[in-house]
Amino acid sequence: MTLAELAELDWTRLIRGFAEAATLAEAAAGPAQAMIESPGSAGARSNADALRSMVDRMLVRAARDGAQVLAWAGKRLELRRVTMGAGSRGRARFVERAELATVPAEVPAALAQIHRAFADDADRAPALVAMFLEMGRRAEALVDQLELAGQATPALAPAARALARTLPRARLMPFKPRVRSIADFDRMRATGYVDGEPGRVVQVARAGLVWHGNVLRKADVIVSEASP
Amino acid sequence: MTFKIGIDLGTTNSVVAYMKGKRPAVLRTLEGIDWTPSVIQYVGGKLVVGKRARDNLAEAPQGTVAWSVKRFIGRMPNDDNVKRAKQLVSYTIEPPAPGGEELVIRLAGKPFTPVELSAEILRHIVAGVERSLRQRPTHAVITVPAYFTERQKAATQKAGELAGLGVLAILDEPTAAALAYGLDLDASSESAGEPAGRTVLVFDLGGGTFDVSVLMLSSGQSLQFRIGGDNFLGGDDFDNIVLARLLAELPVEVRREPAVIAQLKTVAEDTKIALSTADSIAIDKFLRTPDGGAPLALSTEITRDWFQQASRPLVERAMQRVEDVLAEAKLGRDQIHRVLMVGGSSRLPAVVDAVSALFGAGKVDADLDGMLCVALGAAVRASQLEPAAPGKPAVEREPAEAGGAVIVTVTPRPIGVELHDGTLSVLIAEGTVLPTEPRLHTYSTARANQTEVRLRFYEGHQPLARHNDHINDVVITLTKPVPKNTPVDITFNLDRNGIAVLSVAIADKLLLKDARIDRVIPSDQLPPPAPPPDAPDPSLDDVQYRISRILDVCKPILDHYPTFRDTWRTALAAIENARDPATKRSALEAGKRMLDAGLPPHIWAYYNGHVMKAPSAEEQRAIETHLKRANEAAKAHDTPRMHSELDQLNGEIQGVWDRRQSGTKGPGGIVER
Repeated sequence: MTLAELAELDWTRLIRGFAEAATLAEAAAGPAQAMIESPGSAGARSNADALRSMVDRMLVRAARDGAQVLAWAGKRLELRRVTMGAGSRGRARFVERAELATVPAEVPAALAQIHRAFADDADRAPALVAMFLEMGRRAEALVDQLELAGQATPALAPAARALARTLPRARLMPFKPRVRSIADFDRMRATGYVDGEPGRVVQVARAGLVWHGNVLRKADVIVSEASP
Repeated sequence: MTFKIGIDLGTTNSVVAYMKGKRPAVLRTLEGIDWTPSVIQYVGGKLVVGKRARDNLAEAPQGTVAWSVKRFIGRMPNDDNVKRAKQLVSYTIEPPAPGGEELVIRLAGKPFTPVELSAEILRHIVAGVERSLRQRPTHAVITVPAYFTERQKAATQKAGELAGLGVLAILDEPTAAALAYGLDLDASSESAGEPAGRTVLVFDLGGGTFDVSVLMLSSGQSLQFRIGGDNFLGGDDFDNIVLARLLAELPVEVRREPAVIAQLKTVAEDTKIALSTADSIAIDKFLRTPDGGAPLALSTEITRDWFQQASRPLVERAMQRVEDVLAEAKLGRDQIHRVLMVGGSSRLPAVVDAVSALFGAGKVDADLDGMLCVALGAAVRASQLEPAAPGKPAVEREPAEAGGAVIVTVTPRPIGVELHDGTLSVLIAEGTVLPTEPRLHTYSTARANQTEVRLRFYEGHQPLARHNDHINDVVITLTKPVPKNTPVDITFNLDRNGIAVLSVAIADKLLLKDARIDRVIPSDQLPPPAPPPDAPDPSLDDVQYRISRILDVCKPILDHYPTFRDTWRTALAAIENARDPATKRSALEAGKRMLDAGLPPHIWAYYNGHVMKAPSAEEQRAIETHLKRANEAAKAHDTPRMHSELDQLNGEIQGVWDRRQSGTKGPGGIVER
């Protein structure tokens, strides 16, 4: 399995996590705790609704970004993997709401900088891996955001916990302290370096899998790999 | 083993590049991004640099994180730029410590100089390179803005040396950018059959500053001949537009909370970047409140149209600076062959549109990533230089061997020494190719029985020395008093990095040899002690005297300029009649603003006609004749004739100044103050 294939798989799991969190947020009910009101808001109840809508928009946007990048890389999101299993109806509603089946095959604005960094490459796999790692960082930030929302509306806390649970399922968490960036990815996974020119070969390992990767200067990311 | 890198040590972000084969390549940082935020945090007795420090900005206690350190490097406390920059940061800036020459930045109570903090950023970059490539960089070319003075360049070089690097060259940013683009320029120009010589405008809109430079590229050489811009215009200003919009969505009572602002700063920056590619951006964000209470919810949408509209004043300001530089260079838009877009903010669609509208879209070149191209050019330059023995300038490699165009650096502004009458005598003219040959300039002592000679060096275009950027002072203490008109021989040259070297001989006795002007410690005494905290601003000291002197000198013609007379007399009266220190300071500041704004041309000519001394007797006679006639006309209430005489006087004084700039010099007076 290549890293790009792994990223594709993990990204699908992450999107499923977004859908799960959104389903829980949608189901959340009950009064909001005291919260500083935004101008124009009308009371705690409408605040709670506003918060739920905000959380939903954040999750929809994250999921659409992921689906867009996969489509851009020529790897359409397998919707079946997102919806199958218990609670499929809620996730299916999310898929429909986010219009994941029809996302354009283009890089979202949030990842445009990474796209530019790989502009010279014909191969989109390295960019996909880099964007996935950036999305992992953003997913962690999103958990943080959902936890904050949960402080204002406790009913939203389960959504935050659900998304947090998704991170290890998306295989981001084993690389603690945290996968924050591409360089971390390089550093945390590489178990041994072989001296050489830039473009050096590294041995990459994680539970049950070992690759040899080629680290390029441009993004210090593993761009090609073959199982030993 | 030698390993050379190029570093763009930026105000907001720093970038490092190296030569990968024959092409320059940017090296990602340990944090996985192409640039290192130029941010430093002092926490737990250690300095944290880069992205970690920037990420901590939101929650770090005030006064523990430093950013925009570049604004303070090599500058003195009374510098106007320092005063303005102080308003942009929340950490403490103090005057140099006794015996020191650098400002002091206090982080969590611990003093650091801007050089030390810059060195820390460079160390972080070097460590990142070493960890990524498993090879420690030994030498570097470090870039600085084109307007940096000798003192600032020297301070940057010192920072590089403190970081353990051999500094091959201090390269100005526009030249570096041209060099980065130049690699492709050569190839494309051949195919396009364009002329070899061309004029290129570098439009560098960085994080905190905006620089415009006009470069002549000819036969593989670059000559920079006009610079301009705005030290206080950059990407941060565009971020602040978005930030203000986001803050306006929040309750009034939290809009000034530093923690809330810090959380939104990143959002504002991300939004600005995203608006370069998207028509609108939806923002949903929960914010921590300072008291740890319920979070704030922010939900809004920002469109590119709104952003373009809101940022129009900034874009217009930038375009005005471009027009100013073209006017100063006496160039029309059609004489610019290419415009190189440099700096992260040069990608903003509103900016690209405005530049394209001014020059034509076909001339605007934004092929390279604006944030990275300066570092790429620095790496190219590093590849062209070979380290020499310690203390010696780097050796230029053969162009063919170096694999690229040779860059010739020129002085962006004249450098001179202050004369007895306060005017600047130019030692090195603007546009002189570096390194310069040592050249002898002869002056003489201005007073009888002088026991010391104080040389004050400045850089800039203004006739009065004090209106230029102060580089440094050199004080020569004499063992015995010398008579008036004793010859003072100054041999002055600039090395490849634009760092001044001088020797001074008085009465044929060599008293100072090959001293670097940025490092010369006055030989008489230690620097003056730091003023007590409540001491008045030193730059305000002489405001009252200067206003009074101008009114006094110009008294014979003042009645013909009633508005000027009344305004300035009122300002002087306000200073003289102020009863408490706060009122006085306010009046002095108002007076200083008037002085900084400059005098009307006729008043300026009349005043300077009295206070400056022309280098030749003939020129001095001409000045005095015009003054006499102007006085007579004023007395006879013949205003048109007076105007005519003052116009001619103005031309005469400007002529004297122009001849001084071009190196013509008479016997000057070097003064002890």
